[in-house]
Amino acid sequence: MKKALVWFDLPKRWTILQQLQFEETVLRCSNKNSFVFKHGTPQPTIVMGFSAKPAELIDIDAVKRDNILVLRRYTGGGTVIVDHNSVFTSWIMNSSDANTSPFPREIMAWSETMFKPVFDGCLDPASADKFILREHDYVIGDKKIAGNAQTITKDRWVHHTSFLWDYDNHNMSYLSIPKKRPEYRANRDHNDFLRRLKPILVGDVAHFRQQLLRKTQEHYDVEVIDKEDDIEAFRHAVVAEKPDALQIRTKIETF
Amino acid sequence: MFRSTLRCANTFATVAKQRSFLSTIKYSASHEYIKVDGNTGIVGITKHAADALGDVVFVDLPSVGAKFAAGASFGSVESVKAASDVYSPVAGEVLAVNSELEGNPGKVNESPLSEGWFIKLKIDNVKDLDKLLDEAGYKKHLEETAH
Repeated sequence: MKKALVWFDLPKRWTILQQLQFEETVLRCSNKNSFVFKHGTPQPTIVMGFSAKPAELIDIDAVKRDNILVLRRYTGGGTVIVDHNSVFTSWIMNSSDANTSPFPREIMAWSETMFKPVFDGCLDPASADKFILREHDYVIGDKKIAGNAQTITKDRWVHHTSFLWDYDNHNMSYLSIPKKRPEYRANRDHNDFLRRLKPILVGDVAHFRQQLLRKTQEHYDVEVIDKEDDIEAFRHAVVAEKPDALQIRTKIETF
Repeated sequence: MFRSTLRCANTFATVAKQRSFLSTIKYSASHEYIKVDGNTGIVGITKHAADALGDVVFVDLPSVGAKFAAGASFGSVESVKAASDVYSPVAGEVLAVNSELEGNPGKVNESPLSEGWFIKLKIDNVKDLDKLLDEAGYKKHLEETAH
């Protein structure tokens, strides 16, 4: 018998801050398996990991000059800049229902089993490069297509991803090349290391979402919630059940 | 003389039992350990957990004086992509935190049971230790939960 999973299609007008705070609420206060899908965030936003040191990761002067919003999120991992072109996915799972230990590598490996068939089906057949998990990154060929990060609790975890459906080269200039980087990156700059999905996938974001939903339905009994009132009602219900568990760490970073 | 010898033997037995108690290490199912010393204990994560997490890059620890229930999260440890909660094995009050980890979080990987310790706790009730796993129990737990 398949385990249940709630799939949330978040409103387009929600910001990445709203999305991340919603995820934290679901992680801490709900005991349901959940998946969050979101296409874009209204304004360009830099999102740093939990322990990030801004001076090492972003051009603070340029960020202040151009009034770019910066967030510190509740998960580990690196720094990304996201905007209306990004595609966000978040798995919020009971460890036992994904059959993983509560450790990062197993969770990453599990996520690869969910995403790989979707990408295999969506990649342009003319493309020789395939989707794989390399070190801790999703790549097509030797170029990174997304940023991943996790928060792990005793019995549940979040694994969330920001896919580079498309991006503005100029936005990457706000990010420094991190000191700690995967070996396969070598010394490549952002534009040589990253890859846009739009030119190499068949179909649009809606098609990608549909394929991902189908894959998820093979493994879980999925309920889709896509109306904002219903999403808010779910949030209020889980917080009412476990108010002491609520912990929101995602915040706006100020300089 | 016999009574004196017996008293000495009992004293030695008591001291030996205390020393054995002093050096007790207990484990939680969520991969924390507590090294017990009377009614205090040093808490960290096990070698299994440190290895499974990968390179630790940051440890978020509570303040001295903070109080936690058994099983409550007292902080988190960040490794390459993940921030993982860590849990207090017993109820208690934080007496000290390992400030060395701020500049050197890799100590958690290098020596999780000594230099990579997280907090020192004043244990509310030492009887709570009975609910934790001994070394054999923790090894069995690892075998049973291996994927």
